[in-house]
Amino acid sequence: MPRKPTNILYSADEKPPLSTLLILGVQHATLALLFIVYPLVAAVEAGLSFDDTQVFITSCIIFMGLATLLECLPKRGAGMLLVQIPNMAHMPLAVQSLAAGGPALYAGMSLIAAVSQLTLSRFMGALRAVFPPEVCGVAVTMLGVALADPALRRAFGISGAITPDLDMRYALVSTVTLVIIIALAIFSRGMLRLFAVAIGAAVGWSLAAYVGVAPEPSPSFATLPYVDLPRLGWPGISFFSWALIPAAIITGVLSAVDMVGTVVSMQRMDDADWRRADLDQAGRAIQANTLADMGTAVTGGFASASSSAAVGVAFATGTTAWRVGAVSGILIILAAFSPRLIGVLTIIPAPVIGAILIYAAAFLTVAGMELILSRRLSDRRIFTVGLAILTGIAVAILPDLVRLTPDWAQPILESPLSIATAVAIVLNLIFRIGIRQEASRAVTAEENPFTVATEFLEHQGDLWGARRDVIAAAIPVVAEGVEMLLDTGVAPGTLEMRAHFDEENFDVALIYDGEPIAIPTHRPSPEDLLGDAQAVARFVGYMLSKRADKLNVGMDGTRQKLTLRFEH
Amino acid sequence: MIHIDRIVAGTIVVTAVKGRLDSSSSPKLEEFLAGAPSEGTILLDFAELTYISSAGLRVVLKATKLVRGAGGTLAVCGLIPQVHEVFDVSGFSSLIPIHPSREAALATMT
Repeated sequence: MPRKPTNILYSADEKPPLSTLLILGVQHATLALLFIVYPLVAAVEAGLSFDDTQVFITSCIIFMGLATLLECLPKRGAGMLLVQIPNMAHMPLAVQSLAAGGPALYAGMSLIAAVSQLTLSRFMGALRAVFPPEVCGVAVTMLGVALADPALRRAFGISGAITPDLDMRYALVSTVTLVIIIALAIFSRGMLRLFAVAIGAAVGWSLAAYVGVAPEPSPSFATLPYVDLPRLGWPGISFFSWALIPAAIITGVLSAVDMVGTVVSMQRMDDADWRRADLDQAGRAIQANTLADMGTAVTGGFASASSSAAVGVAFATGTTAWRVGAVSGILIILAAFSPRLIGVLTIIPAPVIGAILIYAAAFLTVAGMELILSRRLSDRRIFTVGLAILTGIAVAILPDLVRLTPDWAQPILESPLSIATAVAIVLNLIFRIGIRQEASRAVTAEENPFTVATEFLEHQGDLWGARRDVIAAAIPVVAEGVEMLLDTGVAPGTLEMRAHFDEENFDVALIYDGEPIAIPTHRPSPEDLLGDAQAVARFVGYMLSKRADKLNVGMDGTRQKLTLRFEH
Repeated sequence: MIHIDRIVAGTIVVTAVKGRLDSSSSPKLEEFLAGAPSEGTILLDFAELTYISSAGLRVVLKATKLVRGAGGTLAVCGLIPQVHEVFDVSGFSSLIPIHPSREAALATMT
């Protein structure tokens, strides 16, 4: 069982009191429901009717709640606090497919995205080479960039071409909303901070009504009951748009990558000794999400994914208990039984939505950069990321270029997200050519082990795009091994340091002529450090076995081989 | 690369070590500590120590034995997480008192 960090009050398996469960569950559910703005924007962009929008959002909410419940349950799910929100990665796909073929086409594309997500969860290890973090980071960054256009258009009240007579009331509402959200998120604490988005939206909405830019409710809004059985649709399923299929597959991949990021964030928060991702747990979360996405697809709704905002709430409240997630899942499902509540959510003023989207776009852009920089970057990787992002931006700022391409290619090429991710994948695969997965160098007793290990492992880490933390953890352990072998004379005069990388593991073998060293299973006395060479070697051997993820003593031909494994 | 400073804080002699403590630099610390009075209270401030190898641990162990043999006390403070891990895995954490910072150590030891 993981060791609970000191800042966590209730860890994943702990049972908070009922009142705490309810308070925290309401907070998570409220925050999640605010993100209903994403499917709302997609529905508006695609021109869905009021009734279709109701079904679109009701289905999304019900399956958001079910997915939250499934993911939080131990054994069947991930057994951790994960709360679903509408999946922003689905927005471009939803807008394009709803506009091109209506709800039936979006249902088909959602199913394809769900299958690609499920497939990825089954082959997570094998596909890590195709989707290294910098490629996923490009995608997440471009998610933010792609949101800039709809966000700014709403923030400034622009519906078509930009004209000199901008209605500054829209800019006023969006600016006030954005300033309140950012100020509360940065400068406030406790409940105020937890409800930063809700408070900002409420103030913005009031201001919009005061200055006269809040939309009037549809005539049918007044007839909506406060409590009623939710209406789900059956839009049928269509796969007719071949051009959208690659975008659907990429959306599924991005959703899976996003889920892994959220699960890993929660794992790190819940374990004081966390070192690496538990991908099995992430896989279970993705499978639960996939099941819900299939349900929402066939009932005419918008897909969902686990919320990174909920990770922030969990951190602020010091509670990562899965039971809190289960309660919020139930509350989200109950919300779907109030058509009036959903109706209210569908008439949020455009500049308020614009402000929230700007906030989300800023967060996603930086989150993507964080993913990109989580790996060591060689020249090859710098150009993979740089050229991919430039391509995405080019499509966003020069859309006329895309209109010169064949009709069938335009849905893919006009999306900064799709084109940037595709370029990143292709460049990553091309730039991998010529990089050997194994490298070695000789080390002599005259050299400084720490300097040699740092230079060699950092250089190889750059080439291979290894994780910074893994290389940083490996350097002192490898340096210790080299120093011990050369200083004690176990390896007389020289040894070979050989590194091997395969995405799953980062192995460093120390190969030398001489005697094998014994690795004790129990810690020797520190007094052994003052003993003879073999005693020191035993002591250091024990330390290496505890500091590396795995230590293997074997032979390489006639030479001794001490292999230090660092899981990647 | 290593840089060593000695500061006397009341009855406590603080030796602040900056850099890496490995086989090439640990003889300097050993020599430095050998030149200090071994009785009394010695505090090794490792707040700016970025790496310690078994050769560095050996010097710390020798100094501990020397000080204790003379009836004194030796403690360390300010370990960064990577160095703390080495102290934990090697068993030095249960052998030598470890304080989170120099201020905390001085408050406890005086």
